[in-house]
Amino acid sequence: MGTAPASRDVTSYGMGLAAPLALFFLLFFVAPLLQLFWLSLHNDTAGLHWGLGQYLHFLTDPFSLGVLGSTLLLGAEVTAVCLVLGFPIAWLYQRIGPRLQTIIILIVLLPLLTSVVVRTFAWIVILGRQGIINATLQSLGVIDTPLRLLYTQFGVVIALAQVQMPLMTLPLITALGRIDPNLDDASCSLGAGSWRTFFKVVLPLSLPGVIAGCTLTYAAAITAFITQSLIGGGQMLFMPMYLYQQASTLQNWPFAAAISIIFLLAVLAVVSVFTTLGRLSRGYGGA
Amino acid sequence: MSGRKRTWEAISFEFVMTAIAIVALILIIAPSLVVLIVSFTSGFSLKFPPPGYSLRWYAELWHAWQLHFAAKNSLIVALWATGLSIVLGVAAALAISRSRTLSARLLDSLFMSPLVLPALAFGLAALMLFSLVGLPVSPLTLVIGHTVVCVPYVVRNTVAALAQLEPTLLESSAVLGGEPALHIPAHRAAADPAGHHRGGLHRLHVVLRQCAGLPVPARCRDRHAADPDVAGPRGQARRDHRRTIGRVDHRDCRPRCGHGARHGTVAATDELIRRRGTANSPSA
Repeated sequence: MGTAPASRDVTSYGMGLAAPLALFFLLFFVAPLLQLFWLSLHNDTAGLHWGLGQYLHFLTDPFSLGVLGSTLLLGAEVTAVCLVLGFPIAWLYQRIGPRLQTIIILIVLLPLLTSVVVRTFAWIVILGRQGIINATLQSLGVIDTPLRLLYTQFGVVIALAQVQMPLMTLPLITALGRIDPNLDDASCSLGAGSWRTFFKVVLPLSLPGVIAGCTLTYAAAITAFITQSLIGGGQMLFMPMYLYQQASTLQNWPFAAAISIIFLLAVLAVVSVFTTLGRLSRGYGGA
Repeated sequence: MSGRKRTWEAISFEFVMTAIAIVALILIIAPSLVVLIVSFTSGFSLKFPPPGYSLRWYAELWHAWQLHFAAKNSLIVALWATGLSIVLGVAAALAISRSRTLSARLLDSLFMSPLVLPALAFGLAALMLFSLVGLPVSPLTLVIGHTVVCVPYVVRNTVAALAQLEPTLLESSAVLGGEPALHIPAHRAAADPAGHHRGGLHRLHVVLRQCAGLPVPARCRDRHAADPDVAGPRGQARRDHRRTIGRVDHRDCRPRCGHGARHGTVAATDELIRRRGTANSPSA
């Protein structure tokens, strides 16, 4: 319609509404970060000599770069698992009665209502050498020796996917709920099958929810310190643990600060890609 | 043939989706279920299945005063952080969600960044700053830190919901409320601060319900049906407006004061749909 540019005027709120939060963030988020940045610009642990030595150290060290790479990859794997498992939940949610809907919401919210530490210990009980999975498989005679599930990439991905699932499923449920059910019928009556309708109609229309969910899941998965360290054990090192080791064990504060700044920038780059896709898909979904 | 093929396709689709959903739900619920079952163990270790069942650890809980103390602290910090996050976060999400300006995008990134910065790094940075300023570690600093970490969840979900909020709801609210507001004598607007206030709140109410995925309650309609303003002098204004709806310049319809949403978005949309319907049908 020709009113599109004008409608944006009418339907937007003043930026003043963002002022209280902006001020709060300036005081309690930006200020600590600036201090962190200031600290990262020092070459020695006492913070007396200025220089870019910490950043050079990180960017020329294959080990550090490897940790960064495996952390970003871990986030991608967890996000993919969450999307593949979370989308059917949201789809099922739209297709069942209100009582079952309440049960699904309760199950989806359950991980948010229990402590991360408790859930992670539960995964140790499930994935361990004498854990539920190994015991079941052995009693069924499928395997002879216990599988190594704990302290592996697979274990970390599964545990993180469970922990972060609500962050993916809730935006998806919202997004799917906004799609006009008549479109489904229209697509079917025009000859498209269920699979084609799903990939050509439902999935594209739910893109804002998919992107919101992916952003949340990705960011939460790569910064999940407790789950990464407990399930990954000492075998795998990811950025949050690397950072913690440098700050707490080695007391190398400027290097820890430099790690956080590099990590922050790497993740912000990924998130801004998601955000750009989100803005593009918004026009797509509203068309 | 094609009918059978379509049926088979539909069944395979529904089966695959439902199966994955059930597996995913089991995956979500399994750890919590395991913890729940293990909590009733009679033994001393985290063994599954437990050697026996008893309520002994729940009885122990009754005497664990450290746990009571910790639970009370958690509850207080959580309540304050939640309240503060919602108030600050929803307001900010309303401001940035429909704006495509650079400042809105920058603010969006700023509000999202606590999610991506490891909480550990932020915790260390905040601790350094608080000690530098001389603020002792207390429930207050905990609430501040948690609010920073929690705000992105509020902002991201509210923005995602607002992105799919029908712009016509807000548009029609402005069209119907914004124009008649011009006809109200100044003294009436001044004498009716409560109504002024209610309009804004009501618009917010509709937006928030939309965000939460809740239906807009029927009593909104009832209230507007019973609203004397709608049937009274401003009813005339709306009828005038009805005639001009086809060539309204929307830029002139921006609400100039809080009356912008006086009539509420639901009633407004119904009106708009009805008018468009009558305008388009040749019999009317």
